[in-house]
Amino acid sequence: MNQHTIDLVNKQGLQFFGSVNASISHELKNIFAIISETAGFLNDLTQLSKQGKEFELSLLENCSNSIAEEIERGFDTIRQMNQFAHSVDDPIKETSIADTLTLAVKLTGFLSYTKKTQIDASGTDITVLTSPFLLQNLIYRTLCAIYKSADTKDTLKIFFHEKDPDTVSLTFSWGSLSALTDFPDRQTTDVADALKATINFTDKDLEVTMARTNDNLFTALAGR
Amino acid sequence: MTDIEKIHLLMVDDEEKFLNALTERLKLKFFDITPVTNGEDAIKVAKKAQFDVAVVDLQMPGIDGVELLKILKKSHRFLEIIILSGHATIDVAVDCTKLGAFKVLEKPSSFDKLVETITEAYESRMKKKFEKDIDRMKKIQSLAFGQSPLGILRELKKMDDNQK
Repeated sequence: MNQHTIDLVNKQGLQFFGSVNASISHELKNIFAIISETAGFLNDLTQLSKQGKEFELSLLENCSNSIAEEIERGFDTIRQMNQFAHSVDDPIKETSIADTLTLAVKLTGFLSYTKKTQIDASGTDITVLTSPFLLQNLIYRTLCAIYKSADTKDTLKIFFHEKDPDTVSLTFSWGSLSALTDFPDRQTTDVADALKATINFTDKDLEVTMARTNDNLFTALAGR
Repeated sequence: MTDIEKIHLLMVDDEEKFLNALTERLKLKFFDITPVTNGEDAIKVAKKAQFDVAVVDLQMPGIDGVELLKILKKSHRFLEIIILSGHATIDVAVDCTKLGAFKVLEKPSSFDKLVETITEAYESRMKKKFEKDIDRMKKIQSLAFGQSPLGILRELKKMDDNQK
């Protein structure tokens, strides 16, 4: 990995960090908007009650339930934001594929064009010694590209397995594979190169294969 | 307020809970509201019923707010459209205004501000319609001279087609 690639990946990393934070802030705004309007409606009902006007008591119950649910949704969002923020703590570490996929699916879930997604977690988890932040970046970019091209009725299924002792494979399967054009783009290829990963298309799936250890990345990011 | 005086409002937002809470609140303000959760349904209901004002969320799956604004403005020229945006930047406001949006409000916006903007949008619609009606009356009066009854009907049909 040359200096050019390191610089490119760092710049992209900052853009990626910014775009994920923007989508999280949008999600939080939506949550606050719901809480704000529901609290406003509770106030309207209080005023009606003061005027001696009757209304269904279930409206009050719906309001309090809605506020409680949105607060829980807010906590969930902040948990994901926190988990994402900590992905830059260690430049290189043993990283769980299942955890990285789960977080990427949750983060892309804030985007308006997200699609229904299932991660097959029936097998045992696999770890790779890599940059957790760059891996998150690669998976996030892949998911975004798939969601943008997929039909609204499509369900994306993700599988992962150990291809051989040194290689991990992630398979993305959904209905309209042919609609995914211009992928991987240059930026995604740069991230994949840095991770020693390759992106291939089969007849039905998109497959990302990656080395379980990456000496070049070690040297570049951890300075070892 | 009678049904005739009520402002007919189309609300479009994919956040169902936000839509429901806002709908309940606006109902108490005597608006007649049709809430829908996506652009496709908004286009369908706008074909069947006449609305004075539409409040449209910018970011939605499928047909987004900008696309919906273009489609609704094309087929319902007097419909005033207010855009709600989570990130109401100047760029977004300028782009949407160029496409015919009445105003862009940041989401969440204060309820009073929203009600005020909907009322302003309604007044703007009525003013435009009134001006158009006056114009139409003048044209009809001018048609009445020197035209056969069939010719007048043909001209009226042309005018109606242009008003859609």
